[in-house]
Amino acid sequence: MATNHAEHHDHHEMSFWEKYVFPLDHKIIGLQYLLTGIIMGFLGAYFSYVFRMQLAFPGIDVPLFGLVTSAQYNSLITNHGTIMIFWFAMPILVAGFGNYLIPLMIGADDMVFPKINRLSYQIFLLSVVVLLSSFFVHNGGFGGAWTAYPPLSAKAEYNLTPWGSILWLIAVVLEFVAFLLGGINFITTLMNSRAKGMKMMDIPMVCWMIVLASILFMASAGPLIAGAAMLLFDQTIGTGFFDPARGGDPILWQHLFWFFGHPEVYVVFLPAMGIVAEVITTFSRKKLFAYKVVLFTTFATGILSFFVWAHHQFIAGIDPRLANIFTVTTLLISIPIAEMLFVYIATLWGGAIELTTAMLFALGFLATFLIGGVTGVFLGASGADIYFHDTYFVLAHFHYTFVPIAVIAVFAGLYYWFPKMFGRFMDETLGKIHFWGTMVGFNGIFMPLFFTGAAGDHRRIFDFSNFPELAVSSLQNLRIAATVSVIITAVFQFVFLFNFIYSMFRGRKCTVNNPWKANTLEWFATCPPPHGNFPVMPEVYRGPYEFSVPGRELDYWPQNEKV
Amino acid sequence: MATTQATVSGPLGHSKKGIPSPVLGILIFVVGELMFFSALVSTRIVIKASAGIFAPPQNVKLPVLTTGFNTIVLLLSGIFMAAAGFKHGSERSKSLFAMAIATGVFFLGVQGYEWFNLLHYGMTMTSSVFGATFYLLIGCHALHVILAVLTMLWFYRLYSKDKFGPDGMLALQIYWSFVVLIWPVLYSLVYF
Repeated sequence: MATNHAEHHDHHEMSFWEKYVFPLDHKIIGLQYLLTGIIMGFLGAYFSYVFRMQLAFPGIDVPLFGLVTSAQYNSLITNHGTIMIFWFAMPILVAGFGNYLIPLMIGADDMVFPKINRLSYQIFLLSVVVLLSSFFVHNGGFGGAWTAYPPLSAKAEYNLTPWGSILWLIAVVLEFVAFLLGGINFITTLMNSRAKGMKMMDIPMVCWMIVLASILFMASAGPLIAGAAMLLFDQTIGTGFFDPARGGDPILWQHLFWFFGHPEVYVVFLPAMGIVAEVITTFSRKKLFAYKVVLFTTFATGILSFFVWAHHQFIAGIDPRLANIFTVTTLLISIPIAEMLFVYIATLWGGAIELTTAMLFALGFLATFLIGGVTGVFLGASGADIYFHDTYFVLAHFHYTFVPIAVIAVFAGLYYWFPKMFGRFMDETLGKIHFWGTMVGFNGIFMPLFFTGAAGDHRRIFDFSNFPELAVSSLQNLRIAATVSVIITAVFQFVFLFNFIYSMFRGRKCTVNNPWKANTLEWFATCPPPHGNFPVMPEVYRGPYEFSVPGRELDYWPQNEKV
Repeated sequence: MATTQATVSGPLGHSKKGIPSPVLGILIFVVGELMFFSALVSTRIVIKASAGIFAPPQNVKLPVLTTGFNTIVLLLSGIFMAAAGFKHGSERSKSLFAMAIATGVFFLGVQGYEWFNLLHYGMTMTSSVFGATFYLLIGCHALHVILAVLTMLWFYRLYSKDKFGPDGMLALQIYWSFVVLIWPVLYSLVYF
């Protein structure tokens, strides 16, 4: 509606209600997603603290929680996984940064469908409420692991959480609906409302990555929603979709879940790669090495990611011949990812590197994600996976991918775009303390777990003292080391929280539009940008990474600068 | 839905080329829907292969002919909608639009009547996995038809006031075509 749009631009004074509670502005919606995600992230981290304490000191009265029963333990690990993926990584990386950055970086005044965008956040918030409410119903939150394999998830007599499992499933589906609506917006906006002159190859990498992630999500979410509908019927009215005794097939759920679940890894991975690309080019004052290679590699990754899902099911009873095929595709997908990492390292090579906090986190991402990627190769090979499956080795592996993605790259993005979001800088000294604390703590958690996993620690054990061959002190010391590292990491996150909140109101003011001397269009808008983003709609004359161009006085060349 | 707020031009006016936003938005949505129905179809095939006994209860005969007729009605509805789009803006188009809605409602009515009979004869979602997949596939499609018909009614109201542009019309057509064309696939899979 054109009239609607014109009103949009009047910049009439909006009430608090209009501006922050029911906003149409993509930036406010983006920040809502970001802040909700951060809050949920702290909740998920709290859960991990509680169950790590139980694992290191079985039967202890955990401070800030109390005694952990085995049923509570199940519920804690289930909801830790669910929250960290669906309510922390996804809302921040895809919806938060996507909403905030895409229109600004492509020089648009808002998303194509602002009302759908608002609806997306509202449904997301509803899903948060449903999930949180599941902790307070009879027998507590869902305890059937975040992958929700039937029959454990389908039957209350197994998972012991009759109401929690239903609410959990509803919350997940609602959250998916929210991201489907968001995804439509991202893709359409990138295609249809780029600034004048911005060609496909002038789009900043982070926008490409978020949009490709949205495409992956759009194409993979359907099967899981279908599976969730069936699981819901199994739980509530007692159908037999996943019950082998009545003709159903429990492996079917695993296929539907992982057909979504594996592309989901790339849904969160790609935006993280995009954020890191923006940060490392700006702070090494170099052009992104081989833009087109990165882009086409991303396409390849996206397509391949639909053909690797069964590597999660090597020991679930699938045909070994099928396992061979999936081993090959899984090992193949490490090629484009390795290529991207090499390209990023080539971008850094010979650059004038400035170690700001954002840059440190970006470099930290590359270093730690590498470990996650390399250890994945062992799990992708079906032979090795028979031994490693469901051990702490797997757990350490995917935390070495997800933590760099959802925590370290997110911090890089937050420190980098904070001045744009709030008009003030975050404190660099506190930022560096936060960085080193996080890196040391994070590696301290998961490095020991590779060893306990290789020694045979199974993921789903509540109390290792029941297993004599695992209860030895050499392994228990490693578990305690991991738990102590969890506490160290958590303490340093409060440094971040303080820095974030303090800087929002009291930080050093950002007086210029482009404090990092970057090229992309969001730095042409004021800090923070007003409703409607730009005083004059920008036009684009060149690519996003024209740093240190020979023969030019300045070492950067904004996309919208004519000469 | 998507089609009501489809403008993207800033003060300077961005490029207007390419696929209009409502159409692009609905195409992306249809890709997601296609994957959703693919999962349902796979479910049916997988469960059929592993179930052993996979048939309706003894005393129940699926209404193959009635539903066959109903399939033709739904396809007609799709044709009416396509024709309404070709003549966008004319009085003829509005009446074709109305006929598309009417045939859609007729389809739903017959479906509902069949379900009522089948449930009456004791074929339910819990009676067997055959019943479960039957109602799941047909039910998911029926839900899509219901939502699509409601959307069409809403847009018909806008259209009769001449507030419904060609982009929105095309988007609606694409979605309705998807819902119509997926039906013969489900019909041939579930009823035979």
